[in-house]
Amino acid sequence: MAQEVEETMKRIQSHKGVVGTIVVNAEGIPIKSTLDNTTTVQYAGLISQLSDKARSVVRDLDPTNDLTFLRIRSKKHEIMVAPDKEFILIVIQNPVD
Amino acid sequence: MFVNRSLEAVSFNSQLSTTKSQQSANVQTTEIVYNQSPVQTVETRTVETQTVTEEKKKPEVNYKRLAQFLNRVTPSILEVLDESYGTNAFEDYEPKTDDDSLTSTQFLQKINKVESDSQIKVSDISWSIGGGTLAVSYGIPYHETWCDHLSKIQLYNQTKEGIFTDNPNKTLETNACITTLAYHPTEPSIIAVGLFNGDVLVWNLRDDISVAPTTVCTHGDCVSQVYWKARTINDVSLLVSSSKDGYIFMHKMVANFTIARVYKRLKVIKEHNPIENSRPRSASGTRERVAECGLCITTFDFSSRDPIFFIVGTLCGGIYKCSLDRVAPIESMDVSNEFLNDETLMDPVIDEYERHEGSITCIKCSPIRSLFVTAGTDKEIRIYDFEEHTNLRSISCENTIVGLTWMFGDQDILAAYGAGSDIRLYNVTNGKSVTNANFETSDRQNTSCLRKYGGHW
Repeated sequence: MAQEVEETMKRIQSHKGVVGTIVVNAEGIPIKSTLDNTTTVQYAGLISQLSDKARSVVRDLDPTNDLTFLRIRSKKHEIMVAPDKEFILIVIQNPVD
Repeated sequence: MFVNRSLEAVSFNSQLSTTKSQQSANVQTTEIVYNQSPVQTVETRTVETQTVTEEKKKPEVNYKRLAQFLNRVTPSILEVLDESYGTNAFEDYEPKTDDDSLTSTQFLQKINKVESDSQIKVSDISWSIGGGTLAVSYGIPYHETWCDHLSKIQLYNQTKEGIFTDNPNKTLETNACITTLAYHPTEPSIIAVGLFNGDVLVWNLRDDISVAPTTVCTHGDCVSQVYWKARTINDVSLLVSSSKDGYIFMHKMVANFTIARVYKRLKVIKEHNPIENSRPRSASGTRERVAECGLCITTFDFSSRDPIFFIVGTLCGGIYKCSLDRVAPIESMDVSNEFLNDETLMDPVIDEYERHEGSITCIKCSPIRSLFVTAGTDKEIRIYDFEEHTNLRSISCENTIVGLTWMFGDQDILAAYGAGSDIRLYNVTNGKSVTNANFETSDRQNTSCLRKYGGHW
């Protein structure tokens, strides 16, 4: 199973323009990462907070609704966040290389 | 048992007992000398710290579920990655997020209805609370003697497009030059006016027919400022007016602003600054006053944090911290004068700040900080903390600043205007000039008044 996880991570990482891939658990602790330690910890903490907030926004607006995906477009990157009950997948992409 | 026998007599000489000799002897105890020597105990403390080497917990990962999650999520992620990689939706999108971008201000409109040859100048302007009406008052700034000019207030209505009509919608006439003007902060039809002859008038403009003002009070000298004190709960509107004779009157406006009741009468007495005893002739007029005057008040402002405190500025540069709660009746030598021996007349001054070299022209209390800013004819703007006697910062200006006002959006920014043709903006937190807005005009010589409303000046 761990092998399968690694392979999927590699598949995403090898995709066009992807700078880094991070998997974070429910407590905001990074489990898997292709980035260096400091960056990973920073991204993991901040993005998990943001995705929690975004989820509560969606749910507050409509209690039957839920957050499925979060995209953050910045000047330098695009950050894709796929939140789940247990894990959050964060992919950082450089849209134009 | 009994024997008849004679026993030989035995005798013994009696002996005189000798007296024992006694000798008295003195014992001298030597004086005990105590020596005192101080002992200093040194207090030592030992603190021990135990660093526990804690094993970094590796988060437990259920790889099976993680793999499930990734398998579920990956296709859509890849799809989105492809999509965003190829997209050019944001290519030309350059959001303006820089803080120091240059703001340009636009000269909106010029309203000028005064005959250019007359001496009459705009003395004050005030926006109504909704911003729909601009009141412009006229007056002659310098008087040699009595003021018997006929002056007026013109009210301009703003159209929906933000343009003013060329002709005033309404004109209110007064029998003396207007020195100050203030719209009520919550009632859009109420306007208070201070005149050069000391009258304080209140107009209710709701009724189109009646334009007769309510005379609130008459000061002994030119009214320097009128101010509507912020309403608190269960409180009626307080109109505060200050005059150059040193009095501050507070009136409660009741019965729909038609009746004024005296609420408090305050006077900044001359004893706070004996030098200021003789008022300079330029202060205003040559009239002799019946009532003894106090320090010549030029401006005041109430603290936004604690509304019982207010700061008073005088013609001779004094800055006084005053409190409405201070109860110090002023005793007067002149017993015959009923006006002066009024029990309600109080001296509000509780503290004094570092003086300006010139007259105070404007004082404004910060709406968000415990600061106030003063401007004086010594071409300085000073920033004071309420609790400190000396100023925190002093800003030197090229020209005399006659007025200050807080910016609408960022309430740390202060606009200063005066004898120069430009309006300068300063940040009170660091005292630096804000340079990204420019109000310079070429045809104007000085700015006498400026009020903010929603970004329109």
